[in-house]
Amino acid sequence: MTTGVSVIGAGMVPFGKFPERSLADLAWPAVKQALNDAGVDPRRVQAAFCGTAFGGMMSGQRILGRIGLTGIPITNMENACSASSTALHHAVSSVRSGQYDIVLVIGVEKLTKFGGGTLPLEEEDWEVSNGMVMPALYAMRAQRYMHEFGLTERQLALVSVKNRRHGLLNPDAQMRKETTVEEVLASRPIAEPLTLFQCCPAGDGAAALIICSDKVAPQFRTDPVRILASDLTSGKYTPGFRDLTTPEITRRGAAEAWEHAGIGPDAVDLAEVHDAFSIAELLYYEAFDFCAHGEAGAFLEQGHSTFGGKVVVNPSGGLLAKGHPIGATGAAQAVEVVRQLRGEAGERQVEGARIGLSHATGGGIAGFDHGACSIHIYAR
Amino acid sequence: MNPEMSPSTEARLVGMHCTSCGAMAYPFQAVCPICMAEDAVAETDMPTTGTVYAFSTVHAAPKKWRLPYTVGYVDLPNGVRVFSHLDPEGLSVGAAVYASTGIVSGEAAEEPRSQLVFKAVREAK
Repeated sequence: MTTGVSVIGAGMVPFGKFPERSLADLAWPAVKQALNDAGVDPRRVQAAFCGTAFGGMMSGQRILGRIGLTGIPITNMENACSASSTALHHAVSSVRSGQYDIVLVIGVEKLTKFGGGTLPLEEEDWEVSNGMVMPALYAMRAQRYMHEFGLTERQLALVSVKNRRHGLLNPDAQMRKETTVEEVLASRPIAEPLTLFQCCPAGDGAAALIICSDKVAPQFRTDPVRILASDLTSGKYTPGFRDLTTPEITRRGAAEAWEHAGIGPDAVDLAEVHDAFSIAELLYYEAFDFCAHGEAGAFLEQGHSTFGGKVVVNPSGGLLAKGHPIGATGAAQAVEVVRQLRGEAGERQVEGARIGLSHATGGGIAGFDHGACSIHIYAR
Repeated sequence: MNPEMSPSTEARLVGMHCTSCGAMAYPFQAVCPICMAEDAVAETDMPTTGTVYAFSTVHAAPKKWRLPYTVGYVDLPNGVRVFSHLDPEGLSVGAAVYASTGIVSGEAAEEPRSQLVFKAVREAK
């Protein structure tokens, strides 16, 4: 027998560059905020799942030691950019199965410790040891997509323009400055055709969630955000040809998530998707069937993915504007969806939002579209 | 892990051939990723010409590389895709390329070494 699972608490610290703060000091305020938001006595939290990619050993214990929330099972999880969405998935599974009633999820990352530059990847990997960097992987997707479907540089740049405009309205966003297509295209090249403004900024941040079973939810809040689907999958290792214009792992994960949730793409009011680079968001419109293959550029240009459109994609500003401290991203996406579904998103509120989606995928390794992908669907 | 290089511009690509299921992969790996066979994989020479699937010229990367550099995927006629450095000269999506070698490492590399670089085939005029 399984139980329904809801999010009853959400918290995050504004994303940005905080080189002077330790990982633990970055994260504990997000945890406190989530606990206060839920109105849960910290002593009732039965387990914690902490997602981070570069946080180092015992990240969860270091964070929770700061606030005395210890002596419970704390599991630290690494899954690249999907680290805390993976933590959320396992937290949901543990509640759904009846193992726990109240569980804490943390996502945290401190990227300023690397001093800038591209994300350090695993040198043991064949492609990485031969010069692969994340911008190059996405750049090749962009080039191939432009080649096959006639996507223009201006349409590509428009993703950054839209998400910066969204981020301007989000006090937790790292980039709070609007930009133009011209500025995006004139920013320095990182991996052609991608320019600096088409790449998510490196930064630090943390987010936290309190999730619980249907049984106890009414004790804390009258407006729990129900989790309709919690999907986690890995990429399929393919030594041969792969279609870089179709994110196979996300398409497969999305199909599973729609099935679990019992709804389809038309029902979604807002989606926080993994726009680590401009091209990514366009590929995900198609992977989630918000539009047909090859039509993402037009879908964006016609305003279907912003406020007033068919589905508001990345109302938070997404990774491009809110920032992408990678292990924190999945949890922070969930925080945004919860705030939107509760009607607490202030100036960037998606009117009448009832169904939200979050999607974090990542891991640049040879032979995989992506290493991991976790998708959640939520309802108020 | 690096492919064996002859001192000339000729490059050899040593990949995997699975005699159990027929799968090919590059670089060589000890277990077939398709049928999981361990005792049926053999080293085999890959074709050294192919077509460019996609590429990017990179301007931001770890210090061990000399910037900018160009990397991409080359599709070989046997169905294998190779990730490699490429010479940007005359490059385009779909271009015919051949395996060669070059020095692409930057100042921070321990010592500059020759490695696989695909180059565009020049059309005879």
